[in-house]
Amino acid sequence: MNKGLELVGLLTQTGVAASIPPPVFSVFSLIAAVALLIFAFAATHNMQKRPGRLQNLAEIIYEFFDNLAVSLVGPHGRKYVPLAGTIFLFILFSNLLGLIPPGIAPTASLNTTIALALIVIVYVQYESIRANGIVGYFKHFARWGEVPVFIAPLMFIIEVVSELAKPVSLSIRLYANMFGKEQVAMALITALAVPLFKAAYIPLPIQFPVLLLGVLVAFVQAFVFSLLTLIYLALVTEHAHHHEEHAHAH
Amino acid sequence: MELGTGLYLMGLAIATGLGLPIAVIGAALGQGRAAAGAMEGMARQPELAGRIQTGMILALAFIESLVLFSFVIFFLLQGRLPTVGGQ
Repeated sequence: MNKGLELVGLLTQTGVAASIPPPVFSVFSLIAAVALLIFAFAATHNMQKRPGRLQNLAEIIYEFFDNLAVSLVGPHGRKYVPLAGTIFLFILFSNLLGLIPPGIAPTASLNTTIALALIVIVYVQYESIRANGIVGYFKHFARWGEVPVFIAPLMFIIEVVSELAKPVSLSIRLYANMFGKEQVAMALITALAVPLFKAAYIPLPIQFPVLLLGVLVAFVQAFVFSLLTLIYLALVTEHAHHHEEHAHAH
Repeated sequence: MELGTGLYLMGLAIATGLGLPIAVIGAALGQGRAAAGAMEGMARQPELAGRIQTGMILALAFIESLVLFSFVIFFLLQGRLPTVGGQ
């Protein structure tokens, strides 16, 4: 009987992220990606001058990221909108999957979030080399021309370490938020279950407030991830484009 | 149980229980100051509310990630605690 209850608990609660094998997360991130594809196709396959509901939603999201990219990165930031928007939507879909009962958020696994963070960081390095050149890329690390020459090697080391810390903090922030939400929900479910009901899981929705908070966290964390993507891109490309714009002005 | 093992487990239990709350106290004070500053800025210049809000969310996320680091450490420590009793 307890076995059955445990199975029900497994199927209906999301707070079991620690004991779930990694392939399950892969399957759910695939589901999130397919859902995203269907949303994108449904919203854009028949575009009208007067948009319908889905097209309107897609346009709102796109315009939001367009404004954000232009205000953060500058006029050349428009080409980063697809990356930031896709990351936002994928993380949002993944996070929300964790709130639908049989599902679990793929972002509650460190594997998923490290993959996302690596995509962002590698792309940032690529854009930095493309914007500054290979010499400028290393000069940017050493803050060449901004600090005295004898401090430059020290700055180089500090900047390299902080660059390596970026994917770590980016991935752990998202992972710990989603994993933490699921663990707190699980703790609430199991806290009273054993002493009161002699069962592994409590048959009452006492984790409900945590799930409400989870909706908020899902949006905020997806937004923060794509916001940081844009800010990292802005940091590495601002110099080159700044000079370029000056050159055009003269 | 040996004295050394007992002291080790005691230290581990205290660290597991107190580490996260201490991090939360610090982050709560920091986030409170950040939000208060942002609100003041918004009240003074409502036309900049959007940009201030973006900056505030970013600052809050940075402060929060420090707590989450200690949260991850909490889970690492918790896994090392032995279970006691008939659970």
